[in-house]
Amino acid sequence: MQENKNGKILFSTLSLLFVSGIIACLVALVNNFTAPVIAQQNKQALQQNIEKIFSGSTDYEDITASVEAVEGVNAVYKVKSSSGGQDNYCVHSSAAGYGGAVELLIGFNCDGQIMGVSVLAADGETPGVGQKIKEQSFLDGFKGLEYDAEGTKLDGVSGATVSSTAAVKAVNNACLVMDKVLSAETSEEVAE
Amino acid sequence: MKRRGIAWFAKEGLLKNNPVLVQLLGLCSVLAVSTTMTNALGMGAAATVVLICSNLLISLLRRLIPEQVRIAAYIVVISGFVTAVQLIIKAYLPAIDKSLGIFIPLIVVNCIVLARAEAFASKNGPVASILDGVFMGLGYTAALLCVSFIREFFGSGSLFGIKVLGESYPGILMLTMPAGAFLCLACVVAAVRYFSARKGDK
Repeated sequence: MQENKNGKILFSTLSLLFVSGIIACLVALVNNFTAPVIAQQNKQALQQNIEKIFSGSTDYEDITASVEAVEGVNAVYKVKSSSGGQDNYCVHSSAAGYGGAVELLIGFNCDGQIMGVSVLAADGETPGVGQKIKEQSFLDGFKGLEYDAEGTKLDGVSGATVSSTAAVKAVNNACLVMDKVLSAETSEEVAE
Repeated sequence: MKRRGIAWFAKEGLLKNNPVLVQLLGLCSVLAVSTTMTNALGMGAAATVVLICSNLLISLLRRLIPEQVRIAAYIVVISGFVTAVQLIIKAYLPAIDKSLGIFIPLIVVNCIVLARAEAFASKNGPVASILDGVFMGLGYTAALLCVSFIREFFGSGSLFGIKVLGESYPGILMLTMPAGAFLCLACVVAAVRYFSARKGDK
């Protein structure tokens, strides 16, 4: 009786292990096929957004690792100017919105001025209200601005305070990072 | 084992035992993704693929899986297929992935899939289980499309993201929000109940 019970437990365990093994192989196989495609997909999306902000410039370099981390900032890119001028920068920044993260890509010129903002994700915002932060008329309001703690220099979307504030916060965090990047660059130049 | 034709599975999955409208399973995902018909179609297709694959595998393994660990085994199988489907959607349909977001991984806990595994695939052969998966999936998709048609058409005046009622249509904002989803789904379920009850009277 005792042996029979132990055998049952062993059989249950082994069969569960077998099922898990089959599934693990399947997922690994699918991942193997899709991982490069997904990476390509992400790169393409980033490229498109960078092109949208700096028309023409597509050559960029990820400099996130060399920048001091700021809360909410996911990545910093250095965008090479196509006309041979000074480099521009792009910051991928996010802040909590009404229903999840609002993710923005913010483009800066070499003086730290905002060149353009593009929304990477705002799917948690209310359709027809908070989603309006995706509209160009709102995003264009950021152009030419610098760090703005209160967000008073900007016309928010009426009825969508939370979403607008999230966008402003994400942009402000990006500005903080830019300050650090630019001051580091200047001190480097002085040292040279 | 009874011999059952495709017609039986079709009637069972689409009408008599429609997973959403009759069994009231998986309502969370129906409420959440029925804002546009594109979302509904994407979600329906994803869930159908998972249903077919998990039904097939569970049916094949049904003699091997001991009763005590069957639920754990089913969940492993289902979550494996969901992960695979999610990776494929991410790679080839990034727009759908963005709009469905968290609801694709949540197919794992969609009770339709587990319910079919427990109630059908674990007791029937692979062919019957595939048919059951196909038509239960189609029934789910049909219910989703039904609710999302009403919500998208009247809520924002468009179908599959294309404006059909003209730019001047103001849209019923409430229908695009969660509260509208509850009301809309309730009306659809009530209508289905009404008509099936009347048919029963005759």
